[in-house]
Amino acid sequence: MEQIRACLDILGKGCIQIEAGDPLFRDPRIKVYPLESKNFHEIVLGETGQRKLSFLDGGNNTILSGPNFTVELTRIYFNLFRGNKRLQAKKLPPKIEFFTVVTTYITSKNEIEYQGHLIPLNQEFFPYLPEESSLKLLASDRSLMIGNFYAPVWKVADAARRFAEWKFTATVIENELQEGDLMIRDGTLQTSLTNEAHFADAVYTAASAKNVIFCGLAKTNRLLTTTGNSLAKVIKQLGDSIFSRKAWYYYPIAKINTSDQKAEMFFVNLHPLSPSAFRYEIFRDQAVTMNPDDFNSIFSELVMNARDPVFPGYLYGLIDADNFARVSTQEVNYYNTIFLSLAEQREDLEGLVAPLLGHDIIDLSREVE
Amino acid sequence: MDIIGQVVSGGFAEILIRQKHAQKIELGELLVADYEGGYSILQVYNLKYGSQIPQSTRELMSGLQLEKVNVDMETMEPQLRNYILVYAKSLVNVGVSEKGKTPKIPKDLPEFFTGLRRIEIADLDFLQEAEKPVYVGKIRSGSRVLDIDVTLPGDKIFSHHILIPATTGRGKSNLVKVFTFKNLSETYCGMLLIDPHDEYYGVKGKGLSNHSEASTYLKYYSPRASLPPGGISLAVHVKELRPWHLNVFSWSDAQTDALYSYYNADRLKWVENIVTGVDLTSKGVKLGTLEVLRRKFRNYLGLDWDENNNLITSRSIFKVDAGDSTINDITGFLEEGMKVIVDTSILSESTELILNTMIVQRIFDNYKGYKADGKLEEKPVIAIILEEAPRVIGQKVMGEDNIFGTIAREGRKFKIGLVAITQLPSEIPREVLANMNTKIILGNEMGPERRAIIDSASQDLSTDDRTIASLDTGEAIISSNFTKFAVPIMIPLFDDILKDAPKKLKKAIPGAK
Amino acid sequence: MKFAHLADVHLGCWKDSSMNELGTKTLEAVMRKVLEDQVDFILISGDLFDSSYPPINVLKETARILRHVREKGIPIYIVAGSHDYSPTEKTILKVFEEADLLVDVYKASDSEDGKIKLTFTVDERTGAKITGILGRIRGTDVELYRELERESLKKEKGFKIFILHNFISELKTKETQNYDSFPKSLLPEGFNYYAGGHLHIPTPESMRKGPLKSTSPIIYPGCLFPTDFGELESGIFGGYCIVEPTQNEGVLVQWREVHLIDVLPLHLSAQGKPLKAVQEELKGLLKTKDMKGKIVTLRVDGEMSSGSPADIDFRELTELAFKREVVNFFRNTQQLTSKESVVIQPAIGFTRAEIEAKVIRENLGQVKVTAWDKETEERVIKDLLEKCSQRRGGDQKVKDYDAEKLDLFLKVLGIKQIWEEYNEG
Repeated sequence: MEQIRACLDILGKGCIQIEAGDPLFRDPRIKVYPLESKNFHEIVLGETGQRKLSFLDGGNNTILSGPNFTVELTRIYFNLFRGNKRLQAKKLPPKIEFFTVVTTYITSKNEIEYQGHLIPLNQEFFPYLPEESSLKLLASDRSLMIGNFYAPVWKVADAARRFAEWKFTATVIENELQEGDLMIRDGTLQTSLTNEAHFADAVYTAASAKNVIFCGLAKTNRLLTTTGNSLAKVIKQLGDSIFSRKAWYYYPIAKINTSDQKAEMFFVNLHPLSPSAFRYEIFRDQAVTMNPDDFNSIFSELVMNARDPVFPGYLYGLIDADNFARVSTQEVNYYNTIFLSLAEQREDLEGLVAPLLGHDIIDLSREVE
Repeated sequence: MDIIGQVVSGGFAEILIRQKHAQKIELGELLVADYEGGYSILQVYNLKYGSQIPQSTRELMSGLQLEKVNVDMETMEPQLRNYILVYAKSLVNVGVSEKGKTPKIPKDLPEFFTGLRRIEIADLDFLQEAEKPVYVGKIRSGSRVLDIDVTLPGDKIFSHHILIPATTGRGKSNLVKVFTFKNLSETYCGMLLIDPHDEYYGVKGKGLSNHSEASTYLKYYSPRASLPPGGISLAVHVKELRPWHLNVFSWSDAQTDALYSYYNADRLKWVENIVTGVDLTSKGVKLGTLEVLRRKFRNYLGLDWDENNNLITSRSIFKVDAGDSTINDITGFLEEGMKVIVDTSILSESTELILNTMIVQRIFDNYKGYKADGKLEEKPVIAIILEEAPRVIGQKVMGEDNIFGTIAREGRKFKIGLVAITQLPSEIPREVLANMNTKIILGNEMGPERRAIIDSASQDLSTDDRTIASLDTGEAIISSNFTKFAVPIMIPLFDDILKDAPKKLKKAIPGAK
Repeated sequence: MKFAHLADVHLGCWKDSSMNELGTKTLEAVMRKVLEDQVDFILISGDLFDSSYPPINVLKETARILRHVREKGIPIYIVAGSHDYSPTEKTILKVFEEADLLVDVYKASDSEDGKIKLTFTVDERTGAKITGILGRIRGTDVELYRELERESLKKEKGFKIFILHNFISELKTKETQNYDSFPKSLLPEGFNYYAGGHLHIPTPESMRKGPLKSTSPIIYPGCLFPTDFGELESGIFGGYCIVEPTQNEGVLVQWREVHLIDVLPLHLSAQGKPLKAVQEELKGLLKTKDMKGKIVTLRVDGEMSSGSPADIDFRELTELAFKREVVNFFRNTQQLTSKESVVIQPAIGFTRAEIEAKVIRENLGQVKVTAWDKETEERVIKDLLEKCSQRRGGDQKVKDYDAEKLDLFLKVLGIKQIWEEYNEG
C-alpha cells in the first residue's frame, strides 16, 4: 500500500499542473490558437432529424501468425441513423469481412518486403476492398516501423484495415448519403501510413461531390498543453465552468494545413455528463465554408446521438459501429482451428504449422500448471 | 405467421429465445419452431431480463428517472438493447408428411436463430380424441385458451390412478364436476364421489344433478334429514360392519382381540352387543377393554346407549332397522357404470372413513371375485374420487392394513382406481405417487409440494417449478403416461359447461287434462 | 275415519283359469272382510288387473264384486299400476270408472312452470284428500315424481293420502335389495299415509308382527294373491291393511294376511343324477307328501348326468299329483340342465351397438351365401338392421311403407335387378 501511495504522489505532482496552458502540437506546420473562453460555444439544440448520420469503424484480429506471415480477419462496419432512429441501408451490406494474409519476401536489394493479400469472405465484398498493390510495403517503411525497429508483419494487416475503412467510407458516401448528411469515422482525419492518403483523398472527393459532411471523432487523444496538462481535460474543465451542465464545443484549436490532415479540429462536449471533451474533426474544405449556425446544426444532430446513458457525451453510432466491427477472440479461435486442421493436411505447409502447434502445446501445458 | 422470438442460445432443456419487442410472451406459453418436414412445439418456463447495457448503468438510469433528475438522457434503441430472454424447452416434435402428423419425443435442438411463432389450432390437430374420452378442458398457451378439447382415455386413466394436487381455491372441485358431468352417461366407468363439502350434486345451486340424464346415471346419498328430490337417505345397517373396516384407526392388541371376539360370537349383532355392553368376559374380554370399545364406537360410529343400555342410533348413519342394502346398492350402481355421490359433509371424520372403507372394500372384494371368475372384462372401471387423500394413503397410514393402500398398489389389476385430491402430495409415499400415472396439476404455492409432484411426474417437469407456482385458478398441466407431453390446459367453469349442455326434454304428462 | 288398503291383485294373471278364479275369490273374501270392518273407503294401489284388457270372465267377476261394495256406499280409490296401465289410456279401469265402480285419483295437469300438478280427490264422507301417481312399465313412473310440483301438495291442509305404485329404496331389505326402486325423497312431503303398491312382499316387516303406529308411514300390504310360481313357492302371502288415524301418533296400521289356500312347495336337486333316478325321486316326492286341497309347486334344478330335461315325464307326475287331490300343480325346471344341453352365453357389451356387433360376429356363416365372405355378410346384416328398422312415418300409408322397405331390402342384398327380372318373367 505504501508503494502505491508513493506512485500516486508522483502522479499528483507531475501530471496535474496548476496552470492550464495552451494547446501544444509538435508539428511546426500547425499554428496554435491560445485557449480563450470566447472560443467556447454553447450548442443550442436546434431542429434535428434533418440529416442522416453514418458511423463507420473497423476491426481486425490475428488468426495465425509467425515471424514472416500473418493471417487476420478484418471487418468494416457502418450504420445509419436519423436522430436516434436506426435506418436500413438501401444498397450496401452493413459490413464487409475479409482475410488479410501477409507474406514476407526478400527483395533483390536484400530488403524485407511485405505483401498483403485480401480474401473476401463473400465475393460481393470484393469491389469494396483496397487494391492489394497498396499493401506492398517495406519493413523499413518509417510509417510502419516501431521506433527504430523494422515494422512487424502484422503492421501491414493494420494498414489493410485502415485502407479498407477509408475505401468503404467513400463507398458509403457515394451510395447511401445525400447532401447535408454526416459521415463520421472513428478517429481523426489524420493519415500516417504510406498509401493511406490516396484512400483519404477518395473520401474527400466523394464527400465534396455529394456535399456530405465528412467528420471524425477520436475517443482518446494524447494532446497536451504547454504546461504539460492533458489538453482534453483542460478544455473540459474550462468549458464546464463556463457552460455548466450544458453541451458545448471549442473552436478553433489550431490552424492545420497539412496534406496528411485535411481537417478543422474541434473539441466537443456533447452532454453535460460527458466524462471528457472529445476531439472532433471536420473535413477542412467543408468546415471553412461553414458558419457558427452550421456548426450548431451539426453538433445538435450529434447531441441527439450522444444521450445514451451507457456513455453520455459519446456518439451512440460509434459505440454501435465499434461493437459490430470488433473481431472477437472466439471468432479467431474458431478460424484458427479450421486453418490449422486444413493446414495440417498440406505437405507444403508442414514447416509452417509445426512451430504453431508447438506453441499451442506450450500454452496448454501452462494452463495445466 | 408472425415471428415473435428467435433462438439465440441455450441447451436441450434450456433453449434461450430472444423475445421480439412488444410481443408479450408468457410463462407457460406454447411456441412453434418450424423446420423442414415438421415443427417443434416448445413451452416457456422462465422469463428473464436481458440487456446490452451494464447493470450499473441501468440502475443509474432508473435512479435518475425515479428521482426526476433532469439530465436529458435517453436510451438509444431501447428495444434492441433491452429485451426479454425466454427460457423454453421442447415438448414435442411433429413430423408432417402425406400420411399426416406424427408426434415424437424431441431429441434434438432447433437450429440457431430459428424464428418462433405463437401456436395455432392447426398445430395441435395431431392430438386425437381419446377412445372413451374424458374431457378435462381446452389447450392453454400461457393465459390464452385455444379451442381444442383435451381428452384423456377414460378406460385407462381411471384404473391407473389420478392425482389432483392443488392448494385451496385453485379449482379442484370445479375440475371434478367438469369431468364427471361430461362423462356422466358413459357407462364404461363408474365413479364414487366422496363429497365432504356436499358440493357436487347441486343441492344449493348448480351441480351434477343438472345433467339431462342425471335421473338415469347419477345417484346421491346423504344423511341429511331433508333431501332434494332423488336423493337417497344414507343409512347403513350395523350388520354390514366388520372388524377390518375399522383398521383405519389404531387399536391395541387387546382391543383388536376383543373386536374379533364379539364378531365371532355373533356376526350379525356384534356391534350392537359392544355398544350395549353385552358381557363377553367368558371369551376373555376384559370389562375395561369393553368400555374402551364402547367409547370408541360412540366416537367413531355415532352409536350411543341410554341408561338402560339400549342402543341409540338416531345420531348415526348406522342403523338396526334400515340400510340393509345400501352398500350393495352403491356397489351395484357403480358396477352399472353410474356415478354415485356420497355426501359426508355432516359426518364425523371417523364415520366418513369407516363408511368409505366399507364401500371400497366391497367394491374390491366384488372385483376380485369377478377377476377370479374371468368376468372382470365385462365390468366397468370404477374410479374412487377422494379428497384429502393423505388421510387414507398418506405415509403415516400406509403401513397399516387399509383398503385404500391396497387399491393404490394393486387397484389397476382389478380395474379400480383412485382419483386422489390433495393439497399435500408430499405426504403420499413416493411409490404410490409414482403409480399415479396421470397428474392433473393445479396451482400450488408450496415448494416441497411442487417438488413432490415434479419428482413423480410422467414427463420431465424439472423446469416447471415456477410455472406450477404461477398457475391461476382453472389453469392446469396434465402429466400422464397417456399424453405425448405435459399438456397445459384451461379447465372451463362448470357453469359454462352447463350453459352449453343439452337440456332435458320435456315429456308429455300421461293422462294430463 | 277408517279405510282399507290393498294392492297388486293382478286379476287374470294366470293362464290357468282356475287360478284366476281363486284370485277373484280372494278379492271377494277381502271385500267382505273390509265391509265387516266398516271402513269408510278402500284404496287399491295399482295392478287390480294383470293387464289393461283382462279376460272377460275376470272382468265380469270383478265388476260384480266391486258393484257389491259400491252398493254399500263405500268408495274405491285407485291408481293404475304397471300392469293395468295403458299409455293410450285404453284400459278397463277407465270403463270401470265410467261405471262408477271406482275412482282413479291420478289427476294430473301442466303447471305454469312445466311441472306436474296433481289434484286431490276428496272423500265426501271423511274429507280425506287422496291423490297419487300411476305405475308404469319398468318403474318409469319415477320420471313423473321428478317433475312433480310439490309445494302445493305439501301445503294442502287436512288428512292426506298419497297412493303410489313403486318401491322405495330406503325400505329395501336383503330379500328386496335387487328390486327397482326410487328414493323416498321423490315422494311429496307432508302426507299422513303413503299407500304403496307394486312390491308384492308386505313391508315394513314389523307390521306383519302386530299393529304399527307411525307418522306418515309408507305401507305395502303385499300382493293379495300369488301371481307366479315364485310367489306361490315362497309361502309369503300378502294381505291388506286397515288404517285409522290416531290422536297424536299418526296412523294405526293393522295388516291382515290373506291366506285362502295352502301351498306346498317341493324341491328336488337333479345334480349329477341320471334321468331315471330323477324320475323316480320325483314320483317318490309326490307320493309321500300330504297335498290334498293344496296348491303344489315343484322346483327341479341342477345338472343331470344323463338324459335331458325334456325327457322327464312330467305328464305322469302331474297326473299323479292330481290323483292325490291337489288343487293345482305347478312345476319349474328353468335351472334344470344336462350335460347334453347347449347353454347360450349372453352377449356382453356396454352399448347396444357393441352387443349387436358381438352377436352378429358370433353368428356369421350360419346362412351360406357363396358370393359373400364374412366381411360382406357382416356388412349386409348391419345395413339391414340399420336401414330396415326405421319406423313408418306418421302420415305414411302402410302400402307405401312396405314398398319402401322392400326396395331397401333388395338394394342392401344387391338383388334388386334379379327380383325385377323375376317378376317380369
